[in-house]
Amino acid sequence: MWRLAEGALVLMTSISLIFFPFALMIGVPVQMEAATAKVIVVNYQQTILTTATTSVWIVPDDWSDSNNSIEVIGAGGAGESDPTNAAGSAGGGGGAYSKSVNVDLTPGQAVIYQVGNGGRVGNGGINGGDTYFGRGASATTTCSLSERQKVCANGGKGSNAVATTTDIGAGGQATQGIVEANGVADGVGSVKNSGGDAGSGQGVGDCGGGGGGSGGPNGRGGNGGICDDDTTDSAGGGGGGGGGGTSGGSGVTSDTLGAPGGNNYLGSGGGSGSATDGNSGTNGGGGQGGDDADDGGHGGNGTEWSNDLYPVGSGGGGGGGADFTTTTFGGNGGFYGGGGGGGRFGGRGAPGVIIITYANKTATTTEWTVPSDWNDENNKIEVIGAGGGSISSGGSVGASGGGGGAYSAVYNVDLTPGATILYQIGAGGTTTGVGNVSGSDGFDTYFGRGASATTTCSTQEPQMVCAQGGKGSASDTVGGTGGTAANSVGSDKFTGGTGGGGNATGSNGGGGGSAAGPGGDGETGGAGSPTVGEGGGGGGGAGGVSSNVGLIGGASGGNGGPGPAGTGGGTGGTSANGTQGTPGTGGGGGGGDTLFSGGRGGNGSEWSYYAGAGAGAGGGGGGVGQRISADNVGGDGGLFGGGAGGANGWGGEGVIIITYTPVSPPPARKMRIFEGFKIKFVSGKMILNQQ
Amino acid sequence: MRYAFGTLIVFAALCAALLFFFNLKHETLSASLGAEPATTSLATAGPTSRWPPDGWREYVSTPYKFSIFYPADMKVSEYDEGSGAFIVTFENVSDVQGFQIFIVPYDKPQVSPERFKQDIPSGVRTDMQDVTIDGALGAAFYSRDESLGETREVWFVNKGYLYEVTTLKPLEKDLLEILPSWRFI
Repeated sequence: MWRLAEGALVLMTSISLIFFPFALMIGVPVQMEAATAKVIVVNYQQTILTTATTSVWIVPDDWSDSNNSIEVIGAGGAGESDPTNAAGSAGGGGGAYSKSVNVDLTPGQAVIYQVGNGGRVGNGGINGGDTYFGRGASATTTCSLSERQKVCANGGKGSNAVATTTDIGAGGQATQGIVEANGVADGVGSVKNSGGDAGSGQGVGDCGGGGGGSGGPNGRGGNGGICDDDTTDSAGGGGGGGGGGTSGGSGVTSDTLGAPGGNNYLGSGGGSGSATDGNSGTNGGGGQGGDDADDGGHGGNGTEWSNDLYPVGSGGGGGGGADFTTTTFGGNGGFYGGGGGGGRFGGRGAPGVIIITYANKTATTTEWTVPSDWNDENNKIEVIGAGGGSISSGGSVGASGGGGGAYSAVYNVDLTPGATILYQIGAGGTTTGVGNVSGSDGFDTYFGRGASATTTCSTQEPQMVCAQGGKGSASDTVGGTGGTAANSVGSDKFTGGTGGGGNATGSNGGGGGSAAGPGGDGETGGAGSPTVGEGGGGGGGAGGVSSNVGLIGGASGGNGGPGPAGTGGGTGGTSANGTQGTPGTGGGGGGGDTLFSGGRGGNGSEWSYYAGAGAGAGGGGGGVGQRISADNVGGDGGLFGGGAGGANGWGGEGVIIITYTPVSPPPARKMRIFEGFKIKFVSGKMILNQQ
Repeated sequence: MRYAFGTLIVFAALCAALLFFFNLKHETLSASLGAEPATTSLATAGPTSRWPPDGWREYVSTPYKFSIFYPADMKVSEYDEGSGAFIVTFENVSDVQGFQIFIVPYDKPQVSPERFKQDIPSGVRTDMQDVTIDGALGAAFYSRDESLGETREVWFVNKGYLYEVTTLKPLEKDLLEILPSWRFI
């Protein structure tokens, strides 16, 4: 679902299952003996905003506060120009990168955003614009610690330097970036990385420095290289690689080539090797500097994300031009956020970009391709069903919690490399409207079904493995049941926890049931207090050895149950909201006190994820204290599979974890017979000629 | 280099073959060789209890569990392809005769489309016939290789290995004389 915007820029909303975030093949070695490969498959929607403009983004109806990330890259600065051929010119700095996670937004809300415009070439290189998401209507349009945006990344500076070492374009500064505090609290971690600084020009050599690469999710942008200070055979500096990449090379006096561009975070992509105009970088690598009297190469476009039409990522810096006695151009910065190279005419900075990712609330069947190193003899596939939603808020009676998703695992599944397997990630149950609208059930999560078979767990048309989703709460007083082991398919199976019952007399909500996990059944959410003016129940802790139920609400909200390690349950509120279950513990959210909301269930951490975070069975959300308005809500279920606290909470999404010990794939056949000979037919007779 | 022992038996019965290899009718290439005097074997493997006829030698592969008779004027070359894969070629360059056997670990009962595509990227597969090689069901077909041109292929699976026997199409007659000597050991 996308539409083209002006020029080559695209506003795109894809509804697709992706391997989030970008590389979930964690630690997959080529030669495997003891190591294992792990693939964690989740279901996300992603929107990428690339049009350099200030506009609004309408929060979709299925926005998930508990499972989102917003990443931004500032625009690159332009390189300096030296049209009078009097001196060299420096490149522009790369844009910075910032990321916030679990940003609270309201469906239908119009969020003001700005994608920074790339620095243009002028009387001195122009700065790249800041890129931000979410600011006040009258607030500043640059990154501001006093008027905080939800997330903001500083643009790279344009250069106003020629042969001096001052006023050289600096990379966008991470310290000026803004991230949503809520992201830090969630424990997934918020990240800020600076753009690369530009390389300086040289007056004697009359040449340009390289532009800086933009920051990205994998690190700081590489710096641009310095041009060669030689009167007879100058060489432009190379552009820096995109986020996590290396710095561009500096020109070498005796070299007949422009300096190479820096590589991207994967160690490749830098432009190099040309004795004339510099080669452009690829995949976020920096552009090569131009050789004597030649243009610099453009920075490569990054590839960390994809919008289905083309890759999107942190861009490399443009290479610098050399010997301005002729009309040489600095290379443009790579998309997105790369700084332009210096030249007789400097290169442009690339615009910024915004990447919005959030959990998908629609369960869709998708295909997974079996990797070539799949091992039939040593694998495990685990699934957790999604958590159920809770009954909607606004009624005058209690609100029960949703049930947690079941867990199921299967071992040593026989799959053929290259084959495609149908799977579904269960979408969490939701609720809409005000009043007694039932929460919807969490969807089942399965891996491997027949092309025309059912999409729910079935013993008649069994999937390879399937875990039932938790039921949504449809009652004021009776919580939704958890997905059951009996209705799931697999070898090891556990049942999700049941949502806590609301209390009609006290008008308090029950906590959500937690997801089952590899360690055992999920736990029940605590019931709401029977007394008006008291609190809601706590969510259950995710299933495991030392997990426990959520506590019943009392004078304060009930505490959330601890997760598998016996820790992490959120605290019930006292004249306050219940706190969130501790991220990474699977603890249940604390119940809210009177007129306060319940806390979100904590995410689990049984499996290694990325950036030091974990994925696992999620705790249930805490229940609301005195359910009387839409402003008081139960906590959402934790990831993955936690049930929602009553009222108005959403269940956590399901997940699939595929673990196997890779084998070296058998090679393809080679043709060794008559190797080294060429076969010919002469007068109908076959002869061999040595090649 | 005629090798007269063995007979080529075409299976009329198709039913078992329908469950195997591309669902085509069977052609049996297996033949009973009987007990014959032992002669030679390669140093890489021990001899079996049978003897090749004059002008022939026996190639024995203990790791890959088979033996085959081949004309003595052919040169044998072995290639370790890694990850358990192996190629042995039998060549007489001056007379333009020869064939190769590619062996790869394979735990499926049938050749998957993915494996076929991996080994024959051209995807060419014509005149398919089901065959048996010393009791192992397989398939014979024509294909095309980028370097060799038109080829004759005989593929079969046995006890965890896929065997792909290949020669030039003009040499298929020689191959069909040799294959009946195949024995799994």
